[in-house]
Amino acid sequence: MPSEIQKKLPLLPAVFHIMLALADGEKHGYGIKREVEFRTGGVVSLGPGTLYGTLQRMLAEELIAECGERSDAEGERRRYYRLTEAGRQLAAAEAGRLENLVQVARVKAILATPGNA
Amino acid sequence: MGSRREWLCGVLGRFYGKALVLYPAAFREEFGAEMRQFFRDDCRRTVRASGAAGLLWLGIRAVFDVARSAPGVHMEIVRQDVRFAWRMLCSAKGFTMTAVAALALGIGANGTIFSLVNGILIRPLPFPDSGRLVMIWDRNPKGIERNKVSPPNFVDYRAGTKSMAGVTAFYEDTASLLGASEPEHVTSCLVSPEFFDVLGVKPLWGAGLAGEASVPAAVLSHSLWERRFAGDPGAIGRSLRIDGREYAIRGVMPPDFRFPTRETAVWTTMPFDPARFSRQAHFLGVVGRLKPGASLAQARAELQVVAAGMAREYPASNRGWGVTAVPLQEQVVATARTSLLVFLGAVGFVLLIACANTANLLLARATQREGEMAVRMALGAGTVRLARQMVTESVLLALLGGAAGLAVTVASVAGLKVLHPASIPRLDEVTAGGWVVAFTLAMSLAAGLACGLAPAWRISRTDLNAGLKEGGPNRKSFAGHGMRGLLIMSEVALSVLLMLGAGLLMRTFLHLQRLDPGFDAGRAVTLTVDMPPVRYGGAPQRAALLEEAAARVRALPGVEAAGLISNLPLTGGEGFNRFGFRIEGRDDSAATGDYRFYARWITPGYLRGMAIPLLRGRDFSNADRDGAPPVVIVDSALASRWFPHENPVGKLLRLSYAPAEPREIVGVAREVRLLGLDTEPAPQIYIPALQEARFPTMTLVVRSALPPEAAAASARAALRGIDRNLPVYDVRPLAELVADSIAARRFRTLLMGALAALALFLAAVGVYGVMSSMAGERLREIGIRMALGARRPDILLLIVRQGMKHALAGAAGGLAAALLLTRALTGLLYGVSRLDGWSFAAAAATVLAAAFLACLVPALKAARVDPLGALRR
Repeated sequence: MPSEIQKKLPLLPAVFHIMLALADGEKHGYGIKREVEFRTGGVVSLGPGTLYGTLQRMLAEELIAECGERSDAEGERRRYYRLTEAGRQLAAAEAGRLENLVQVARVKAILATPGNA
Repeated sequence: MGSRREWLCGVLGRFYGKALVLYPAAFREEFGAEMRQFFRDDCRRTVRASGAAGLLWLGIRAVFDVARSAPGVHMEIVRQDVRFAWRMLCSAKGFTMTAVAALALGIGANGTIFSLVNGILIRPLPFPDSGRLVMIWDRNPKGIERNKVSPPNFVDYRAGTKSMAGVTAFYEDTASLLGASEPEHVTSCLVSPEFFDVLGVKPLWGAGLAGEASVPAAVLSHSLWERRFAGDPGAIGRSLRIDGREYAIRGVMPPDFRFPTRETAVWTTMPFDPARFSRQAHFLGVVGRLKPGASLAQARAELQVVAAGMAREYPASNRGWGVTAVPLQEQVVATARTSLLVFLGAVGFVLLIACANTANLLLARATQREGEMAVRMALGAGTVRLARQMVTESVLLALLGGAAGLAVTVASVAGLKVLHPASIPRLDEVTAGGWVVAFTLAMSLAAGLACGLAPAWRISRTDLNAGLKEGGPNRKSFAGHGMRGLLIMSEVALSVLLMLGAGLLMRTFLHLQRLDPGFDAGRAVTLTVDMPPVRYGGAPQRAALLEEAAARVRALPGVEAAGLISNLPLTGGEGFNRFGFRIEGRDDSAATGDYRFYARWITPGYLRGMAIPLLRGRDFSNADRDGAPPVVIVDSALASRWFPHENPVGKLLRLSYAPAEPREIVGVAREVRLLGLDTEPAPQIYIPALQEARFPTMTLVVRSALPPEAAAASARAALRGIDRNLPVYDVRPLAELVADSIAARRFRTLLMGALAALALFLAAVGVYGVMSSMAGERLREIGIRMALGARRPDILLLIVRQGMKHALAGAAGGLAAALLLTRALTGLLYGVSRLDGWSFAAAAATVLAAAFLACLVPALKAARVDPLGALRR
């Protein structure tokens, strides 16, 4: 793994959540929030300031990109965002890092191995 | 959804919209609409799920969300701007280096002068609670506020002020230290016993001078203690021979104690009872310490009561006299204040010129980058964001300049300390410390903002369409031209001001140098001789030595004349030797007031040694000795004032320090500027040193055809030939003494000259930069003109005229401002009017010539352009 990517790890939780939300397709801001909320069972709830502050930084670092404005299902104009290739690589790196940690936790029997439960 | 809930959502949404102000404008421009939309969505969903209570909860969470995220967004934008600016600065190395160098010089010069101002004027004196120390002066009837205090007056001040915790007196002298090691001549200070207590400084070792003592006591400076006693604390209690008398060493002061001067090596108690001294002998410095809670005004009122009482009680000596009290700090730095403040103003101008330079460079780049900016705008970047970007660039540039400027400051403060002009008080205490760093940072930020404003304003008015038309002539550029013309004008005006300041100081200095001091400083050397009281305790021994010394030196090969004097002109310390006199046979009731003179004790040959012409009568001879009829020589300043229509030779005078015997005037010598080159000659009376051998220290003047070193060496050898243990010191050419007396002015002139040169250089570079970019932008127009028949000289004239129009306006503005601003210089000038026409003309001419060259180079380049090539661009 290139060390440039390594240097950016670990990611802020908000950044990783946004990456995961965009991993299966482009979404608008509120759509990202809904997805994150749904996936975490409401534990992580991104406020607008936090979300757009993070989006702005990710745009500047070219981890995500805008893919224009269009109307959503309810007919409102919204701006959509997508994960860039660099973003996808970084997300993968973070996931790998977490996976390693989980592995360690399993070996040390802090976390039960799936199937042995 | 109910309409009430709908309404609630609307209100909440509007509140949220308002709260967005807390985010940076650029961020709002980009995401504001979306965030409001987001919030609206959230409101609707929450209402649906959990009703009005949910909305309340949402509102609270939104407040936290804004508070938590807004600072980060601000930081992020700054970070992005800085990163972008850094990339821009790195990509344009020439531009960056030029701008950073200009700012570093400007900021560094400011930091240096600020270090001086901070260390000298602002920082309290190095005494505990130094703000409570007050210097007390006798005010003389002629209105001179700060006269030294006579000893009995000091005693009365000390007794009569309840607001003072203590009052002490001191005066400076020189002393010869004898003992096991080499005889050494040092600066000494004679003080009243409470001296160290009033100043509040405890000796490093031992005790001060307070209390009774069987033998006279001395306190040593740290450096003398290290030099003579190798820093041995056991020196306390040992004895030291000062001027042949035994003193018990009571204590050693800490190394940073330097009062009254940094040279003071030993403090001893005054060898007389001040209460019994003459009230007319004003030679004491007096310092008091205010009690806690007492004010200076209170002390002044008390002192005035004391002075009024003395004037009533002792009318002969004190009538018309008053008292002055000033904070000690103000006193110590009084001489430096005016020039430091002038220099602070001058470096401010230099920095303004550096800023104008940088602003111009940025402006030129902004014009070049119009295309890039237009593209970024078309892609949605707001003008606020772009303007902010420009300011970030200039602030970053200024911070780089500030960092380099700090290095300049540190280097020049160190340089100043090495040069150590004696004219700057407290220079030892000057450091480029925390305050200087803070000042430099503040200056850099201010400079950065100032430089960035012009290009930012320029960007905010960029015309998108014109900018996008590739290479098209941009109408708006003419607005940029106007601003750049203004920059040329201000640069020229500011450097004219500095040039003028330097010119006026220079003219003053040259005037003083050309001034006739009343003696011929060429081809003469001076040596000071101490006559240790052990061997020369009485006047006869001293007179014999003086006679012998003058005779032996006069007999040396190459020596034209030689003689001794009690103290040379221009060396200060005049308070001691000022007395009153009366003219025998003239009935003057006001004899105490105005009839005052400076006394000089000389041997025969001194006047010829100095080449002071004798206008009437005769010089002293070896026959004018103890026992012979007392005689004096007066100078023409005294003669023209008190004997305007008669020959003073043959008249009798009575001198106030020995009024019993009348003395006959035997000659009139030409007047001498004894107090300073910039002070008119004051009345003087010469007294034969062979007749009154009062002083243990005399200075020998040798006029010789030999080079000064050879003359001094042979004179020294001749003196040693009389007495091998005679301390001889301060050997130097007379010309050096004259130069030293105006060292402060020379330093000021050099510093101002350096600043003016820096300003001229920066302004020339600035004008060149502006004209280059303006000419560059007009290349197409030039091509057209040439195609239509304009010849190269026409083009040359076109460009030069454009630049010089602004330069002339700037020079006129600078001269106009000078009519007012030179007022600040008045105190520093001598013999030159602050509105001196020559200086005005020379300053304007110099700067205009530099500006002309700076316009000519780009004009030549423009005139050499290939018209076809230019048209094709």
